[in-house]
Amino acid sequence: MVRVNVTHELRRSIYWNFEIVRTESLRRQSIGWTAPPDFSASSIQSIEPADMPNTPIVILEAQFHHIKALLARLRLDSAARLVVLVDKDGQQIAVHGDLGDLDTTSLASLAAGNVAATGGMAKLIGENEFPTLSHEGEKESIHICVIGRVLLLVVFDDRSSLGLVKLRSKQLSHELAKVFNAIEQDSAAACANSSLPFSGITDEEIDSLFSPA
Amino acid sequence: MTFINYASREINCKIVYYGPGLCGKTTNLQFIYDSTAAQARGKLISLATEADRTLFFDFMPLELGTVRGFKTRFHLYTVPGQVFYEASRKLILKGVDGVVFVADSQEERMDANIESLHNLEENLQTYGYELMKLPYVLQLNKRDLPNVIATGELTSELQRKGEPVIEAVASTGAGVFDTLKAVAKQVLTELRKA
Repeated sequence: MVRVNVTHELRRSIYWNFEIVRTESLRRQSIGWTAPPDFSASSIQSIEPADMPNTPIVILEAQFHHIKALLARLRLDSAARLVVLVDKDGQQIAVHGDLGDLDTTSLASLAAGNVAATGGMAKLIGENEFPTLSHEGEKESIHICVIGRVLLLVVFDDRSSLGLVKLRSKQLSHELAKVFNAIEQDSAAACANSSLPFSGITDEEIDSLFSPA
Repeated sequence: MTFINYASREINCKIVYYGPGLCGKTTNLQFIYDSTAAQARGKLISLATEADRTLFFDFMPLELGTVRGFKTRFHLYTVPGQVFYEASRKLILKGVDGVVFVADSQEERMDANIESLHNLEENLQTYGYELMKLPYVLQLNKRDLPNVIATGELTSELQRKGEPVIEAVASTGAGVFDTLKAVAKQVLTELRKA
């Protein structure tokens, strides 16, 4: 409970400071002074992104491998069993760790549903969202950290602890936010340039998916 | 929200089955699950009440095949149809790529269909989507029942934008794959325009 209040206060403080800077920036612009780059729209987006329009998200190979490397580092640093990165809409983006026979596609969908449901509850009580969720089981536990439009999900057991997982997840969240800002910008550019893999797809190719082989 | 991953060569899209309570949304998914080869689909997750009514959503991943070297995977969701699950119903629409509206063809469910369709349009608007611009299919379900409204009358009442209208009996599978195919084709065609 304290955690939520502190986070809320922190967020309010960030917005409050941003408002001060923006007001000051507008004042300076009116006298011919440009706002410092640190407070550009993109840096604010990484804190609280607006709902994106329905533009496809494109992850390039280099970005994917960068994400995988970050997940591998988190898994090692937090002594976790598994780390999964999930889009808020329920799509699994990347996974690293001891999968076993775990159905990570279902896990991703349920995690997104879980965050969406608790986010709905947060709004009902006047919060924007709950930035972290934790579920502790007898042997295995789950920690979910909301980072803009993605969810960082860590599965861990008694070889680790919730405190360690939370700390390491939070440390990584800034890097992941940067990666996803870049991905969103690249995706928008790819759509604008019609360079998506499906841009030139023919009706026959689409039909072929629905024809028996 | 379509997800294109160049590293794993995958394209993931989200399709939501919407409609009034007991119209057959879960039955659609159940039939697709039962009729699809195990390697082409994942688990069917059902978050349901003890009375088997959808509480939050049903979910099932389905792989259709490969186009241009990319695996096309559709994530199929249903919403809870009962009116009082409005809050959770809205959540499922986030990031949707295509919608199937499952209408209950029975005469006594006409008002529920209309209410649910208005509800769909409203909920889409809260995410900045417009039904008129979204891949969309109207399924007229339960055509095997005796007290159904004529398809022409249902269509003129429920069709919004000249979308494909498919008659179905989800319990036997009639029209289920035609519906899925119609919406999936529209989603892929939209990707071409992106």
